[in-house]
Amino acid sequence: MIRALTIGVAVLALIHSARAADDAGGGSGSGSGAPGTGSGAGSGSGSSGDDTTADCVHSPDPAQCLAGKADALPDFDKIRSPDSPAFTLLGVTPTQIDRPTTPKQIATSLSGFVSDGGVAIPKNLAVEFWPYWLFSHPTLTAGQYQDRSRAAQFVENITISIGTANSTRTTSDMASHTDANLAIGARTLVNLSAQPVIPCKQSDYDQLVAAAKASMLTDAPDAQSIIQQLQVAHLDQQVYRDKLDVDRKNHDSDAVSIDEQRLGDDAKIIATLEGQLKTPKGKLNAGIASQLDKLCTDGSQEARQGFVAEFAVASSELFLDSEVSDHHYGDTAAWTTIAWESPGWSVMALGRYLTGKVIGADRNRFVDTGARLIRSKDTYALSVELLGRFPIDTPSGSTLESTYRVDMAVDYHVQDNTWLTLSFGKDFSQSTASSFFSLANLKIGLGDPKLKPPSQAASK
Amino acid sequence: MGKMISDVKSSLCRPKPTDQVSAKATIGNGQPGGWAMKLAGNVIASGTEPTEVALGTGAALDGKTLEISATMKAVNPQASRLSLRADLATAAGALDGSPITIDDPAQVGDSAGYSIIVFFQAAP
Repeated sequence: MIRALTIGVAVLALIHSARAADDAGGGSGSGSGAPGTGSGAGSGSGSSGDDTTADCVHSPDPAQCLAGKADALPDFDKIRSPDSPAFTLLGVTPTQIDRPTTPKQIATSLSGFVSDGGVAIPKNLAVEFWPYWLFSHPTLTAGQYQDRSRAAQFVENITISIGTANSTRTTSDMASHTDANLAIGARTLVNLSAQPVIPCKQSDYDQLVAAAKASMLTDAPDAQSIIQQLQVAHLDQQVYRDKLDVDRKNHDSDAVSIDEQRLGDDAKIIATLEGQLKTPKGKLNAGIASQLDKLCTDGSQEARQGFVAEFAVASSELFLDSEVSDHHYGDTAAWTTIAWESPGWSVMALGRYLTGKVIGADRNRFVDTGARLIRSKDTYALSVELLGRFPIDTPSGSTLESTYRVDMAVDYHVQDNTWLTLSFGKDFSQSTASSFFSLANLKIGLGDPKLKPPSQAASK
Repeated sequence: MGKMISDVKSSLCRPKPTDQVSAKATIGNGQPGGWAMKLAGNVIASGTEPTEVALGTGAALDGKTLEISATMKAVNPQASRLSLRADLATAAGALDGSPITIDDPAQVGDSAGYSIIVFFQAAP
């Protein structure tokens, strides 16, 4: 515990001093540790931030490249994982009470690509996806999105997560075995009273409309001839569409073939002309781009103030020696988190039902209850969490007693999209010697820190 | 600074001469934006929410060009898309060639300026 705290404080001090030096030198913050456009989740080294996974995109063997980077990480970096239900159940998240959040469309951790291949369960896989947003919704307006009913939110906000984590087991012959836990989870989020803190202002909408009027393509002199050619192409296409109908009725296969050829040619011409129109449209847009950049930047639809509720379920399967053929039902949990969110403070309460089993033993059932307090500032967030675990159905002869977990976590903004998350505390284990834990991670280029709401973090 | 996406699509619609034609622009995927319609050189409507705009009869529209221009910004981090959809309809239903949709992937902070151009020809 003390060693982990020392490491954490040292890393924070190092990063803080490096950032201060960067600021003093007028640095733009565009260092190599800010890939910015990377997708998914990943980890990097605690001090330099230049060991990013983005390098692997250009590698001839990305999987091998990622595996090498994972191997190079300090141990405390490897246990970083998304706070999806699957990983909460696996017990590898830095905290147990997760901030209700609307996760990204698809989040895939770095380690999700580091797989043994074959039939073995992949190591440290972490995938979360949002079925509703896998598809475009061209008729869903911003107003409709914000005014969705709670029932609609419950359905549309469902995310599915899949994760794996490894554990070590020692058998009676003192042999060590590495088992794999595979968990599947789902969660959804409902705004009970929360509202966007600062949505787009009416003046923003007015400017968007004005920009639409100012970028009319039919007003652009260099678009006129292309639009005329486009009209001719559409009319020609219509002629052959009508002719095709007639020729089909007459069963004139030769004529049909010619008509289809002409329709195809016209379609290509139309696509080409539409492509050419992007140039004058782009010029018009260039004139309004800087203006649009300033709009709707004071808030986000994710920003909320008030009560939100998250509902989650997850279940895991244990694969002995990571073999697919030797699997056993693991843990199952269902929980609800009620939170009061504001830009600076968040208070959360958790209720969770958990049923778990140790190989060769009977199934235990528990209820967890607890609370978490988060204080968010511009460059950091602090969290304190206390959870009680109460056995409600233990096998006969069992001596399980109530236990508790207490932890403190900190998010620290390093630069750009780089956040460091550290967590320290006492786990549920009844053995005092083994119950102290520490989890730490440097998250690079991945957008969301653990504690701060994404909307606040994004404004950094 | 987000990137600016430019895209253009076009279509030919052939309403019956006596049909009353309307158009509706929808900025989708839960993203904020504004739109404007210009028919035969005149701005006839603008707004942010989808609104049915009466364009006139098929006969009156024959040979005319409608442009629906829209600008929008990606602020909804879940959607990761920007889109504009144009619906053209008569009392009998949607016209052939409608709806016309432009749909592009986008990141939060990106903006888009789209134009949908509709050419009218009265149906025989």
